[in-house]
Amino acid sequence: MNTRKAKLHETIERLIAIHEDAAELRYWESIFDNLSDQEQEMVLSNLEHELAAVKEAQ
Amino acid sequence: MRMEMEPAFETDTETEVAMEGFREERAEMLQDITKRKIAETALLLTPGLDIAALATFAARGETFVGKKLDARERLNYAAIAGFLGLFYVLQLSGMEKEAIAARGIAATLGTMEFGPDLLEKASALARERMPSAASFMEKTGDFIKDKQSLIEDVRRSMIELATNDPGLISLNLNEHA
Repeated sequence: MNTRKAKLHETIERLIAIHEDAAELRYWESIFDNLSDQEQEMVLSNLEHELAAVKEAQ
Repeated sequence: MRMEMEPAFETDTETEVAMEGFREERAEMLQDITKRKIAETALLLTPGLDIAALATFAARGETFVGKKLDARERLNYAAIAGFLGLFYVLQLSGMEKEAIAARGIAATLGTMEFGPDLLEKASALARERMPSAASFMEKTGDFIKDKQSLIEDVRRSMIELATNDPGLISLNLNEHA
């Protein structure tokens, strides 16, 4: 597993733990390899920022 | 005690609002991704097919009947429209242009019954004709397979769109002749 995908997996696990939609996030993880580099970066950035925002809100 | 409870409620609301914004962003991302994949597949497999309208359909923020979609619905809608759009393009590939023009999206989608058989057929078609899209098709099919009523809604909307204004999805018989 490459670094970006490992980060994605870890971020998704944390988001699911705080009740984000597991089915949707598992879908993103499943299609991650089918995305371009730029698309992967955008998805990962979105999820990391959501996790940070949730932590801040809590 | 009451002073401790109030911030907890506010934090939950703030958290939900923050999460919804990121979901909206992801729905838009998936709309763009499916548009690109449909356009890329059509360009390679069915040159001359003007798929812009179909691809754009995946990016609509509301249903054909005007129901406004929330972030989760938009994402589901984009996944379904993307899957059906890709399947349509794959089905047309290899056909004579005249046959494509005669067939049309309404006829193709109108006979489509979404279920395990269709998922298998779509997957096989993609593996045969556009291997680079096969994995995306399979994963998306797996994601949408339990969203039967929404699939019907999207399918009906696409058929209505194509029936009411056939020019939106057209075939240029002279292009790439």
